[in-house]
Amino acid sequence: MTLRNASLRRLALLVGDRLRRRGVEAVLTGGACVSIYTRNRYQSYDLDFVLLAAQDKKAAGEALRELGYRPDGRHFRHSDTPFLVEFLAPPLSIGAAPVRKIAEIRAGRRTLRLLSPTDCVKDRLAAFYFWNDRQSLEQAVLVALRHRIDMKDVKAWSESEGMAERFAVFLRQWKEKKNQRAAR
Amino acid sequence: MLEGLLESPVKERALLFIHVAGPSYAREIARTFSLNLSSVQNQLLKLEAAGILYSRLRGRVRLFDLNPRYAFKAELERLLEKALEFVPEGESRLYRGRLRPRRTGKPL
Repeated sequence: MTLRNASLRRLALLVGDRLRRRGVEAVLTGGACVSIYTRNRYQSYDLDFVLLAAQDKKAAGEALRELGYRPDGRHFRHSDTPFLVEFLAPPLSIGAAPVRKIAEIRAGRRTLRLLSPTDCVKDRLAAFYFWNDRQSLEQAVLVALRHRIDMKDVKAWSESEGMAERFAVFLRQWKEKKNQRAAR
Repeated sequence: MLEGLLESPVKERALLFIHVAGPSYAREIARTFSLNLSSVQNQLLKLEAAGILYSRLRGRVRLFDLNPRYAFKAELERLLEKALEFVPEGESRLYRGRLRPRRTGKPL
C-alpha cells in the first residue's frame, strides 16, 4: 500500500482503522485534530494518538509496521510520507480533566476516533495556557470558528484550571474573528 | 519514601528535586546526589514519555519540569510535598539549594 500523497486525514483514518482492527483503542489528539477540523488551514505533520491502555503499545507498533512505518526514537516514520506517528501514554485528558466523549469520523469502512471539536479547542487552549503558545491560541480560534463549540464547557474547564483570564483572551479573539467573518 | 511506588530511587530523587527546584537538567540532578548521569537521564526520559515531565532546550541544555498538562499533577505535587517531610536530615539539605535570585557580580 502506498502512502505517497496521502493527506493527513486519510492517513489518520488508515492508522486509526488499523489500530482498531488490532484491538488497540487509541484517540487522535493534538495538532492533527486541528488540521482535520480546519481542513488544513493549519497543517500538522504529527499524528499523536493517545493509547487508552498502556499495555497496547506493542500491538500499536506492530499495526504501524504493517503499514510500512518504522520506529525512530519515540516516533514512527514512513519513507513515503512526511507525517510522523507517535503513541502517547494514557490517560486521555486535557489538563486535569478526563476526556469523556470521543468523536468519530467515518470514510467508507474506516473509522477514526479523535477529540471532539470542543475538546480540540480545550487541548489547544491548554498549550496556550500552560506554555503561552500563541500559535495554539490561533488554532483554538480557527477550530471554534468552524465548529459548534460548547463554550460553557470550555469556560468551566478553563476556570477549573485557574485560567479564567486567559479564557477571556481566547473569547475576545474568537468574537472579533467571528464578527469580521459576518461583516464580509 | 516512594521507592515502593516508583520502583527507582533515582526516579524518586529526580522528581523530588524538580518539584523543589523547578526546571532542572540531568547533570545537575546527578551531581547533587552523586548519581550516575545516564541513570538520571534514563529516568527523566521515562517520566517524559509517561507525560509526567516535559522538557525544552535552553541553549544546549535540556531542562525538565513537571508537566502542567499531566492529569494528576496536583495530586503528584501533594504526594511529593508529603514525601519531602520524610527525607532524612542529611539528604534534605540537597533539596535546599538557593533558589532566590542573586544579582550578577554580588559576592557569594
